Amino acid sequence: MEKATVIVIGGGATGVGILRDLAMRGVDALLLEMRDLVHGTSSRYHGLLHSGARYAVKDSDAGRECIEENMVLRKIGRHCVEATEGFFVRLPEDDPAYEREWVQACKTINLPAIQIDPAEAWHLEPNLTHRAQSVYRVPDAAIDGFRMAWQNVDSAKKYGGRVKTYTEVVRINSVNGQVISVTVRDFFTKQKYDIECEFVVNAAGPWAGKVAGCADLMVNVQPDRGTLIAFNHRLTNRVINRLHKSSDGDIFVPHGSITILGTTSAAVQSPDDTQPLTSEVEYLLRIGELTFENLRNFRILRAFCGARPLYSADPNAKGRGASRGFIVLDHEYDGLKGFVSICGGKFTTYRMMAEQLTDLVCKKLHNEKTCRTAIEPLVEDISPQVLAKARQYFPNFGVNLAASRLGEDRLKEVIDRMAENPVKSELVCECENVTMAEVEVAAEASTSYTLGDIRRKTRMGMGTCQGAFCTFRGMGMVAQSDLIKDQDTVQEMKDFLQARYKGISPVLWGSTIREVELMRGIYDGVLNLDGEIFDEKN
Amino acid sequence: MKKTDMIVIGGGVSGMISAIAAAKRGKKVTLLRYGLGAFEIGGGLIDIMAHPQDKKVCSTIKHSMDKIGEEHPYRKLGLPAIEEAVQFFLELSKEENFAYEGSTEKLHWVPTAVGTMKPTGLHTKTFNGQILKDADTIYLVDFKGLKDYYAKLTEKNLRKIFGEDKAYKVVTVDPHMEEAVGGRDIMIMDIARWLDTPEGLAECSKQLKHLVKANAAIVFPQVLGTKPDYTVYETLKAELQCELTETLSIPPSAAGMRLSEMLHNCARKYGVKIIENAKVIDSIVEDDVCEAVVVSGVGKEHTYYGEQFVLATGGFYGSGLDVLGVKKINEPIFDLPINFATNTEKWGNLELFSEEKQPFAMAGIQVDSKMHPLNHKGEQILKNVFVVGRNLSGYDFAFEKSGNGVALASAHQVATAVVGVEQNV
Repeated sequence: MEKATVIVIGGGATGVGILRDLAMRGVDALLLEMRDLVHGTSSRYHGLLHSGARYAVKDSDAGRECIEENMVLRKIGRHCVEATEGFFVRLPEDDPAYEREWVQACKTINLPAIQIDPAEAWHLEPNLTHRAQSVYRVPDAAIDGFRMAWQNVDSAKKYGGRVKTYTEVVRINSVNGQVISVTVRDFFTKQKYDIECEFVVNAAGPWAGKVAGCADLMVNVQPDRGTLIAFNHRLTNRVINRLHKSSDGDIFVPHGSITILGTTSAAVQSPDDTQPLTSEVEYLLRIGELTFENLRNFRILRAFCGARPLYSADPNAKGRGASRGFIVLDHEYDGLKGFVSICGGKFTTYRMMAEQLTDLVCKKLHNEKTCRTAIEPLVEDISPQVLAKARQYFPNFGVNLAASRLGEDRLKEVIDRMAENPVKSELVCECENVTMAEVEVAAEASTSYTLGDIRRKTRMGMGTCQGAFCTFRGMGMVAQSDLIKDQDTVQEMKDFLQARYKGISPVLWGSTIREVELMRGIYDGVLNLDGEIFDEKN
Repeated sequence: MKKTDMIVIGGGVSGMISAIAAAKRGKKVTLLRYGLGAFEIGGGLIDIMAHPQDKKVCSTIKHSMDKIGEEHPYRKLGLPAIEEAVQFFLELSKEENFAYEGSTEKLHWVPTAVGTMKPTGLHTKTFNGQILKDADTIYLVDFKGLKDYYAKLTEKNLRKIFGEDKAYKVVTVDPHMEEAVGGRDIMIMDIARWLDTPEGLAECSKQLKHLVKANAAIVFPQVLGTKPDYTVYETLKAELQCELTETLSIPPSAAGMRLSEMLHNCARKYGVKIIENAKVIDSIVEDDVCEAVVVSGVGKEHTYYGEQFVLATGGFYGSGLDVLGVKKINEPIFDLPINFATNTEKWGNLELFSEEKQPFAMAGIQVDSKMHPLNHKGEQILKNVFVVGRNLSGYDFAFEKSGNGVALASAHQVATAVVGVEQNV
């Protein structure tokens, strides 16, 4: 039987953070994820590295944690962070009393909020409304949730950490009140098998209640749905927050060439309910255009939804009223040894959450090593020699992006492939500058089962065309390199396009609907992926 | 003020066909175009109808007139008009020495680069799925360094359709093109242009002779020349003693460019005046008659006066219709009313590849049998304006596989109507 000392359930930011921490402390750990890494909440949010200013008034502990971790993540994960800084902007409709309270609260938690003249703010951010009453600079930043998670996993692997994706835990088995193993199900083969372990960590985010249920325990996590819009433009260079009591649609975060506007907040039954709705988009636009008046002139790329994992000991607390702080639950108190859950929290504090949880686990395992995740960078900087070599083969403008997404080892492999065969430097995805060699390397990874897995690793299909060209190319390339086993390639392409369309269907207007018309023209009209494919009678 | 008989706005299939059909009947036609229509996407085929109702059931238009909605442009036209248009197109292509084949009563199946088969209506000889069924050996030709073609993907899926008892072989031709393209990717159009040259064609044929045996079927990417003629096809077919077919793929489509050029040649032959880069931004209308349309130009606007106007500006993709929001659509030249042609409140289905036609795709302009635009009460609004092609309401080109068929039939109808109007006067 397979074995691991500690099994971590959940491949989101918290889970990969715990895996890394455990591995760095020499604990034999295996992470199990039911789908692909970061398919859940850790990629379905606005990608904001909070300064803590948003929480300063309501929850000063959460605010303090944010500013501390913000400074840590900039150092250890500098390739995932775009240090944009942020503005807090008070509009005429926002309460001036809140501003005074907020300024004081920021001081209390040692958060630098520097007031600037609104005229200076317009100069720096020309799209910003001229109705701003007061503007403050705070150390917000943009962070790439996908990359952060991948780099955590890469780092963990160096220390012996292991990962299994598409492996869902269906049962946590115990004997005499002590965890002995988990039963898992393979997503593709549907086969069940057991993995032996001493300890199980439940880091399943909004699915934590479901996982606890596998051990017949209750954990009160309320999935809270947040919808966001991705614009195909960088309409601001800084994170823009409304300076008022935290509410819907009041955060804009720039990422590379796009901007994300979020979010909404609504309790939902299931964290799997991630189909965004037109009504939510319209609602966000109405609020967002108070901050950026010309908002509707920008093309929307897609909308998407995630589920916050709100923990509450009180089952009646809801939405933003429930704590955004986190809690570690030791189920020994519920009568089951070797099982802990970590609930709540947010992306910015994932490392701190992982540290506290790992401290507890290590204590129980009598491991006395201390945490070093706050001081050791996730990945080493890529050497200038390798970067220089990359420039000979890559489209120049894509080098730095590709380098940070790949890391040094994979980058070298990609360069070698291009050097060996120049055809491999062809762009599969022209929007995100993803080359054939990179898709190959991603496709060969043991964690790649579907085109969607390759997308999350490479960003193929996440740009302007939303898969209109690269779905065919990606599939063709994978077939050409004999990297597909028994998949139905037609179904695979349909699934990939459907995943893109899911975020497009609520925003079918403007340039977005033109793109859909093209997408349908190609894949339905011309390539006939969906129709009857040979009808002899006709 | 110089008035021309007919002004056509748009240079896609519907615009070109209306212009040619009217000019052929003696009308003086000016065509204003801004863009290339969907030639590069559609693969040069005229899809007429394959799925009137159900994605899993194929039928031709001849056998499904009663299955399509009343709002469908084909219902407005009636089967005889569709058949006349098809006949017109077949003759036109024959005249141009680039004869298309096909009819309204039989579907023709064409292989795609994914290895699926797609049903179409009218097609060039270069697209022929039947040969794959008949052959014992199927060769799949790849070109060294060619982007956007993956012979193994084609093979993998063709095997599923045509069975394992045939032999499938991927063969690769080297066009020695790396230096010629200066380090950039080699595209389908590069290979097609290479095969346009006698040297390229001879080299390709020479290489293939060593790779394939006679009496087989050969599957090509869409590279058999850029010109509207069968030189490349006939030469390779004769030299290799094999049956050939091209495959449909992602844009740009070489076959689409052949169709575009054929129609262009035709239009020129019949004296259609084509004004390129002419974006029509407005119209001048008196009561229910359009006097002129306004074209934006460098530093000034130009006004074109005419007796009849044909709106062939396309749908969402071609910018003939601007979608401002859910169920908010603007037709920018005449501000024509938009008909949504469905009873549902829905604007988009949750599935991209849906069991049902997409509600947004059905939106467009409602017309009468002569293609005059109608208001919501079903009354004629502008008596000398006609609407053709993708901006019509009541059909889903992708679901039905009817795009160019609707374009052809509606465009041909306009020419008939215009000539008919004059004869009545």
